Amino acid sequence: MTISEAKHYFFQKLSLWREHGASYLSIAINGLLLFLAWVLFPLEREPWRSFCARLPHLYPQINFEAPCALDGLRFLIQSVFLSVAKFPKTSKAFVKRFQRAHLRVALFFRRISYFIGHYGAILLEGNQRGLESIDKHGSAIPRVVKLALLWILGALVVFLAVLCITQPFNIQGQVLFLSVMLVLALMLTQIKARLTLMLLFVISMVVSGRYLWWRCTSTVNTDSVVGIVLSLLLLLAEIYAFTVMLLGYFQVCWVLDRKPYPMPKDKTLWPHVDIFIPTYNEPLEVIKPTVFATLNMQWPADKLHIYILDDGSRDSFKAFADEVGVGYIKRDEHNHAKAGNINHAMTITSGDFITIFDCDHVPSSDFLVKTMGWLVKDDNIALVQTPHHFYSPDPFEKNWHLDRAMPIENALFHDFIQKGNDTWNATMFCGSSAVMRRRALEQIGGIAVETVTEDAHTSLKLNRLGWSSAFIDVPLASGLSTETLAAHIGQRIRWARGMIQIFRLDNPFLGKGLTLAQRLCFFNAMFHFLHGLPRLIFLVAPLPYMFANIYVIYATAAAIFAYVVPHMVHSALTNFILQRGYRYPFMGGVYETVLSWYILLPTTVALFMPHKGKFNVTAKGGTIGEKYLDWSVSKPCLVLMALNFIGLGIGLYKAFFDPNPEYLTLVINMGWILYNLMILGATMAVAVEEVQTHQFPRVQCKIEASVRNSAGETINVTLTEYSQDEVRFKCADVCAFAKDDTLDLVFIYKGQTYSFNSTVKDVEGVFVELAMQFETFDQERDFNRCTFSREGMWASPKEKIDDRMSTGFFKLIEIALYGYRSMIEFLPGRWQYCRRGLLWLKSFTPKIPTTEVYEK
Amino acid sequence: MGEKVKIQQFMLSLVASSVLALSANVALAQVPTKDVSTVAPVWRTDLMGSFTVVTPLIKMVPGGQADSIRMSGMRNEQYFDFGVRTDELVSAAKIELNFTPSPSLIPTRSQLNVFLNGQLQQTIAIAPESLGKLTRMEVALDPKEIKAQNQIRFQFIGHYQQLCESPASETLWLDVDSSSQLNLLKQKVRLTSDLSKLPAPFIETVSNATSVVPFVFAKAPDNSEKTAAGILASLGGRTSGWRGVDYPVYYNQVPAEGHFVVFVTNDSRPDFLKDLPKVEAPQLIMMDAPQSRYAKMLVVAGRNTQDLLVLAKAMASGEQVLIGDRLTVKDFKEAGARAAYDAPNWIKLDEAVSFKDLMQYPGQLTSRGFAPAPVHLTARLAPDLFMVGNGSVDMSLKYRYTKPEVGDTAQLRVRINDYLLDSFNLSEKESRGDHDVKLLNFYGALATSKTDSLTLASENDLSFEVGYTRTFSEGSADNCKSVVMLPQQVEIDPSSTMTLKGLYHYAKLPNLSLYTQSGFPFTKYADLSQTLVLMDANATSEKMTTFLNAMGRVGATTGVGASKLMVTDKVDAKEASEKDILVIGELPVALVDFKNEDAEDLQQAVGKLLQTGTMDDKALETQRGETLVNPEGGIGAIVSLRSPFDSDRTVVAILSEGEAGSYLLNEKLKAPSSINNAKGSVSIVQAQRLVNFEVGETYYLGDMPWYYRLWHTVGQYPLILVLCTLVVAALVGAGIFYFMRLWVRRRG
Repeated sequence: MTISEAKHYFFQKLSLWREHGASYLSIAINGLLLFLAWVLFPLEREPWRSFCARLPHLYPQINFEAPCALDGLRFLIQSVFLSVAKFPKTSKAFVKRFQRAHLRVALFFRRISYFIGHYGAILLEGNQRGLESIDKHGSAIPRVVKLALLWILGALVVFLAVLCITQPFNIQGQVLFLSVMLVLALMLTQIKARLTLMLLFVISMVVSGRYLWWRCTSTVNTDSVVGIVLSLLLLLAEIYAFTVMLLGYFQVCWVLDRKPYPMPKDKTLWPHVDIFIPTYNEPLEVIKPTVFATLNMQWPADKLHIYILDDGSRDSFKAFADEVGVGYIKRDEHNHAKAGNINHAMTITSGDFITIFDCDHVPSSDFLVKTMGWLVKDDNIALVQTPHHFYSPDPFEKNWHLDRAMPIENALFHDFIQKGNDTWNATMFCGSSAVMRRRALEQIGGIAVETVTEDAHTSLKLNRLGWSSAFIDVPLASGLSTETLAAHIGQRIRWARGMIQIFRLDNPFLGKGLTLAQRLCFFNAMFHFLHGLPRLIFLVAPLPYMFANIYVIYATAAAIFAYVVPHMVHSALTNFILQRGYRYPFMGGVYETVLSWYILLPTTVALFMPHKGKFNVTAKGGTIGEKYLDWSVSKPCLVLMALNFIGLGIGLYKAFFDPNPEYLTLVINMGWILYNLMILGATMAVAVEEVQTHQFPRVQCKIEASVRNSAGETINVTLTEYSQDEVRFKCADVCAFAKDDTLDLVFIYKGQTYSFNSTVKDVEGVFVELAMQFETFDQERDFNRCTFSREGMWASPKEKIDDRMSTGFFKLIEIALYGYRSMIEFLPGRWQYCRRGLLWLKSFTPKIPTTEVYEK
Repeated sequence: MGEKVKIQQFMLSLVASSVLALSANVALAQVPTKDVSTVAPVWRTDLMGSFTVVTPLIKMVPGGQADSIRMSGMRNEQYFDFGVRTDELVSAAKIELNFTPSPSLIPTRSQLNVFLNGQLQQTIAIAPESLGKLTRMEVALDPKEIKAQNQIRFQFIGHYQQLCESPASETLWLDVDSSSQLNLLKQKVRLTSDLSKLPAPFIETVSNATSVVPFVFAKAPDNSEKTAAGILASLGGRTSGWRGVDYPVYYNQVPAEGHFVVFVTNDSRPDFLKDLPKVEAPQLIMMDAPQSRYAKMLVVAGRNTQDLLVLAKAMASGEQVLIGDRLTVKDFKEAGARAAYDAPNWIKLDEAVSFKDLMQYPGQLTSRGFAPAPVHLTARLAPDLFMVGNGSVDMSLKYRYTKPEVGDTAQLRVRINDYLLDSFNLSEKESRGDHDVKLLNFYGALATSKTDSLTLASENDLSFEVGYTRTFSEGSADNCKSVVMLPQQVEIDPSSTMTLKGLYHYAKLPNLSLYTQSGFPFTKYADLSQTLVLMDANATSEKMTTFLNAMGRVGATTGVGASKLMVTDKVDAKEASEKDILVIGELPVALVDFKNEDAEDLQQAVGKLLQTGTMDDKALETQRGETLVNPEGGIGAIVSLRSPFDSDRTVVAILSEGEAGSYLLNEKLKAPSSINNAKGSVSIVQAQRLVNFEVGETYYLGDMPWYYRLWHTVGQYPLILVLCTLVVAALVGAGIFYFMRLWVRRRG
């Protein structure tokens, strides 16, 4: 190579770097380094030339087109790493072999479980048929014999159960007993029969009962006062969890799957129904779909009376009401918030039945037809509640980017526990999407006003007077979720406070009129909101050992393993089987952790001073312009996190530097801390508020429609999303639309054709977004009929999701890691330097080459 | 005249010493007998021929089990203990001392001093030529200094340099070779016949040796006589304690040597006592044995054998005043029977037992020295105890100690049966402390619980050890520091207590280890009021020995005499119905082999034998008619089974085949190490081996509440609990299912 060539090469290189934005300092340093490299190695010759070509692969952290000033150092570190580290070529083959083996094992287990499930189900189904004959023959047996048999068996069961719970074992015995029980329980889970669940309940109760018995009788630390207090606190928290578990089993041991009862054919028999839409401060746009949807209700128009109950006394609302032809009620005194609003309206209206929709709850048009059947059929039913569904994502869904990949936080209660409540005639009124009998409501003096959760209290009062309630598990209305974590917490604080208020003011265990089952169901709903303290205790329980060597569970580590693990596995397993489809595994802990600190104080205050506290309106329908982390709302979580991290650090210190560490105890406590940190990380992830751009939340759907362009051509399309004023559809094949085209969106619904004007807002491949242009409210109402209030709109079939325990666990880890990453990303103010510093330091660490070119 | 005064004086002194001894409770074995040396001159003329006793020094190290004697700058003192029997006198004593001093020692400045009972006997200057070499010397001890209990102390004064010595220097040592020994030239002393000296000279209490007390009968004793002998044997056992007693039995024959006990009635007496005057009442007489100038015999005399029994019971009551050479028992009234489990040697349950009550000798709770030896305390429990899950052993420990020097630390360690219970640092601010120590509970029987875990046993060794760290700053030549070592001292306060809770009497029987270790079930009632001993009316002397030795062990276990013992040669079903039965006799079947079936045969044979009622002859012959396993050395067996007369009672049979078998069995039973392995329900004993069998019916006895029994039973079979859980699950699950089905049908 000649000098001029070299010169040329250098200038080219340096100007290239400059073009790509490298700084002068970096160019100077790296130029010098390059020069030195040239001097030492003949880079233009083989094998150096091909080596240079592979550099970007071997040094992925260095951008060779725009090197940084310290890239020389990075180059050095990576070179050392490359020459020292080994990259086993066989690793992939090994992984493959491992995967294959794993697959084989999994297949084997699947076959076994299929076998068990198949024959087990046959066995238990046979039992079903046997039951019929038991019914038949059973009635023939005299009552005395039956009673005697019941008492004998009952005594036997009590005796055996007490024995099973109290039987002491040495560790080997305990391990043997519980491993057999676990295997049996796992086998049972494979059998899809109702009886299985009952068996699992009992097994889980026995195992957990054993655990608690052991905890109560032999693990309370009596070394010191602090030890006693701490270990008793943990024990209390565990007893709380156990009680909640028992109540939960009781509540949902056989959920009632009530189907809608058909309305009589003769429409003259259909009663008058008042629909109340209470509002306070929501914008008109939020309540519009609700009003239109109620107007679209399939019900004789002369028997349907719709009222907007405006506590905000806004003229625009009155004008709107007048124009669309619904009633408008406002009041002078604004006492008792929503309950007062409804009670006031009740004095003005006179329908036999009252339906309440929160202003954002949009019913489908078949709402009344599906719900009124039971009320007409059974005079004793005072309340028919439908599940609350939400078409906008809740903070968890939104901020965890789940996109309906797991059941939402609300689903457990609204879709499942309510069914269980219905079994025991204790369906809870949820404030919206429910129909009530006016006569019954009047008997209890209208909606309850004593507490901030007027809805639950109302249903309690109804039940006390002997009225029945029913729950129909068909989503017939859908609303808006709370948008942000802060709003979510605010809403739950109100619920928690209200439930505890009811507990104090109208305790379900006291007073007349309720069956024991109803008392338990209502009690459970209240008791659940006391989870604040127990959850916090669980989150800090491993710390006393780390900080001060205080044993909160006074037993050997091996014994703890032998007792705790089965207890947790069995209860997790049973709850998993029980709540499958309604609650994703491991998420309950996160949901509780989010709230624990915030509801602790209100519930405690409400326990002692039940009259304190005001109704707060949950804000809905807003947008979030930019992603951010809500630091202020996550302060409690940060404190817990810090404590746990310090605990982890101490644990590591102990493990490595303590002269005689108790390894097993450390493993238990550090495992616990890690689990806590995972839960806390996931909690932090909820506080990362994701962008919410659309003014009106969009509803996912799959509606066949067509569009007509200005040339008059009609093209069939599928609607995938819609909101109040926008639509997104998918073309079948070609998408010959451009921005700002004017289109007619055409629906054929129930034999009628509806056509709406719109303009194309955006085109992305086969997806097109339209902005609707309505001229009249009638048009809007028609659009609403084709979309929001379309019959069966909200009753979409459940999608099958992967909710195995292991998947759930990995999902939790994933979310937690996202939380921690976000924490670093959104470090406030000056802390950002730390993050940059960390990233900068990280850029020096060696990396594995991108392809397998390193072989030399 | 002078002679008479002398006798009067002597009698006075005798009375005085007797009263003294009595006031200190005659029954206690630990009463120090008046040492021989001071009174020896009186009997100097009666000295018998002398003999030499040689004891290796290593066997005399306190605590036993020493395997070397090495002295150093830190351990510069070494003690050796030895005792001398009351009937022996030491006329000359010397130590044959073999030792190796460290080669670094400075001669003559380094010395070894030998003390006997605090008096310097000889000082040995380390000679230059002996450095680093095995040196032999003889150290004469002054026999006048020798008392009943003696202590030899070696003091090592070592110097290895002129200045700046560190007592911890490793070069500072002196090794006493294990061939070193103490030679005592002894003479037998002729003692006066003085009952107040009892149990001396019959029972050994000053040394660790087993006492041998021959019992002589005119002929095979009848039941009352046997009973009397058994009670006296148990008293001897009580006195001797862990040392043990052996009772060889002779019929109408003077034992070759030693002091002995002889039983006489007015009608039946051994030939050598033909001339003894007839007695009017039960009488205990101590007199010189015939054919020996120094041996004593204790004549247990009565008008008939009933008198003998009365006499034995009177002795057991401990209420008799023993003065002079004879005791006549008049108007003896028997006390009531003792309650169950009230043996004085056993710790009471559920109440705080103070360490004072556990102490066996004064100073037991004190330890001193540069490295204080552990303080040991023995806690004996009833052997059939069962600890339940919430049981506990709580110790409330108080202690005093010499403060560790500033900058040093001290630690107290509490062990039970060599397992560490707890340890804690001793403050350098105070010299006293207290601490609560807890033994982690376990679930199981003490007797059968595994020894590889922290457990209680029926005999427990509690030990408390204090360790001090000591830092030396060794000086340099210019800056010399001399270190004065202070010996440390530790006291465990006798008011410390120990409370045993959650222990129940509950044992799986038959279990021979309970019998061989603690004489259970007979010792449950310490006076053996619930025990029936079944023996052949014409029992051989070997069988008698078996019986008496068994009683001796009972006395040693319980700490009281078996005053309510009953011996019979015929079983009366009514009499036997509320008694545990100890059978001593011939093997009822000929053993064919060491097999389970044979053991079972044997056990069944014993059961049948009891039902036939007598011990006359072999009730059953071998059923298979095969050749017998009857080796030269004889054969014996210990068999236990449920009593055929009462399902809550147990039979233990000590059986042997002929004279050889009896001899073998007696030898085996004498040595605890060989019989400790007996367990199960049948143990067959042969010269070289001991084979245990678990055969026949097992049963549980005790007062444990039913739920603990249930827990214990199910606790052994976790799978039963699985079954229970499944039954519960099935019943409850099906119940819920059925109910809910009807309920939901009504709702829907």
